[in-house]
Amino acid sequence: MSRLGKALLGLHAWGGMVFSWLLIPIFVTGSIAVFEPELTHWMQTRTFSPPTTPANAVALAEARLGEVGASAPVWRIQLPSSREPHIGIGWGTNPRRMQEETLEATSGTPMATRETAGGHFFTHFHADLLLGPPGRWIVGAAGLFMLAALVSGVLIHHRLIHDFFVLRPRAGKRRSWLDVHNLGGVAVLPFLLMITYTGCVILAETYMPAATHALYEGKHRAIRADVVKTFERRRSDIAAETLPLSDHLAAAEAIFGPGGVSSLVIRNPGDRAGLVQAYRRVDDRLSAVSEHVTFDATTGEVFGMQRDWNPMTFAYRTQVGLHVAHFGGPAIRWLYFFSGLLGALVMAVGTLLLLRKRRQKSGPDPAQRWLDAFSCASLCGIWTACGALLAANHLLPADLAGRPDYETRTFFFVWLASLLHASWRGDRAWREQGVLAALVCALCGASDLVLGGVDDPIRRGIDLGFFLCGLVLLSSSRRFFRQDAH
Amino acid sequence: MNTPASLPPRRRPRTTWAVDLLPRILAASLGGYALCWSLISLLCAWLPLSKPSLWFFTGQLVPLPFVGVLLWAFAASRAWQAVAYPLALAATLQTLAVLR
Repeated sequence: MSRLGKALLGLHAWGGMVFSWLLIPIFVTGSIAVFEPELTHWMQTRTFSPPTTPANAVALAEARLGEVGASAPVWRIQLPSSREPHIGIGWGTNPRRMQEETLEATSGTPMATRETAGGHFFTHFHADLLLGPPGRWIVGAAGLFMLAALVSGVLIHHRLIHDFFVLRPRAGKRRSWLDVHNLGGVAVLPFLLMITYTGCVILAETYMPAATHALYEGKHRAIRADVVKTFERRRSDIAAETLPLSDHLAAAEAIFGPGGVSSLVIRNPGDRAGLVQAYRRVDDRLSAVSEHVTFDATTGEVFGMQRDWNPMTFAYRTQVGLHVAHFGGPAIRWLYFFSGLLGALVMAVGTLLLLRKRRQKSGPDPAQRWLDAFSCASLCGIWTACGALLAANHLLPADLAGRPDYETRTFFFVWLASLLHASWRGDRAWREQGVLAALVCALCGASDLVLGGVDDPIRRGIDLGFFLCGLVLLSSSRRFFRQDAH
Repeated sequence: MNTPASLPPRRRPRTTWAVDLLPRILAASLGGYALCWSLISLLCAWLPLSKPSLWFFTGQLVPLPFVGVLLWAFAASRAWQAVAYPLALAATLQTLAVLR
């Protein structure tokens, strides 16, 4: 192999292993986070409401907001959708920190929901490891390395087309593992390039504020103000009879099409200067931009509207849309889910190959033990930790104060325990933790499937998903982590 | 007998890490950051686009200089080249950006 080839292989293999300790958990949680609303539904153990019309939902939400939030200057209504079959309402002063409630979509009665970290935990962990801006730097660095690893992988593996048709499952352990790494890598390469590139673009706002400094004196808020039009006005303190919200909804649907409105924001309800803003749904287009129209609350006249975007903003938001996959419905979500997990598998097999080679060369020294331990915790431990989070969600008392914190702590505690266990058990940890992760996931899904009782397609889907993840983990632990696999 | 075979086995120099690998890692991270920052500054200074267009355009380019420098840092045949080239390029671009 040429000097250049060796250098790139060293970068790909060693860098790949170290960063895979972060990238595998990021890919696993990111794949799970594709189903964020469904997971939140599962974790709050909400009841499933049959579908209702948007007009009906808005009327129910308005009645409830009139009771609980009459004096609040801002209301928000999230209309039911197929993914979130309930009405979400919020009221308060600051649109970012509202009091929130979930209403049953057909009757409008408030639902008892559990306090939980929710599906958002997975998105949050995926994006910044729950560390805030420093976490976004770390994840951004891992993503940039991932891009370089993909490019160097292609450069090393120049017999790409040839090997695409070659899987040799019986050709000896090392060769067939390398086949899995190469074949899987080639199959998901377009997805990995896309998802990693767009992820790095999204995080760049935090780690690369060069343009913000050059153009906006480092002020992030100014960028949004430059591209998203806002239509607001001061309250008049004159009470006025306002039109029912369903009238505004009908006017908005005349613009965006039937079922085209996803949420409403009402500013200064009951005031002469009240405004009703309707946001268009974003789940039927690639670019994650939401058109919006604002009506005068008393007369129903259009106060302002934004349907056109700066082309560069639109392109940028298309990259965001490609990453978060709100478009395309269930088919795209499952495609993202499996592609993401396949990406994690490719990384895991690459790491295992390097570890195996090193073990043959230098024997089981202490360094090897820790390299193995980190790899095992990142691959098996993350599944156990995710499963434990969901188990804690269902097992912790429903009225426990600070439930979300306990759930999060369970996740990190189990993850740390998996690292310690792996460093203690050495080689045997792979199989033990693989089986443990499989059992946690499968039991979590199966028990809820049996005990859940009520007829709820979303909850059943999540249960089944976990059960299947458990089965796949179990069969792959048996296949891959046999003692002789190393 | 004083043939090469009787000499103690030569150990791999322990300085490889500090002399060869560390500069490359620094070049990959700091060099990449410097080049990306200066490239964006240059584009923001010279491209005839509106402010939001510039921001959202350059935002989409961020990964490219990083990946280029990262690969260069390990592909360069000598460590000093790995460090010097990206930094020199970044300094040039930043100078051109400031000239505006």
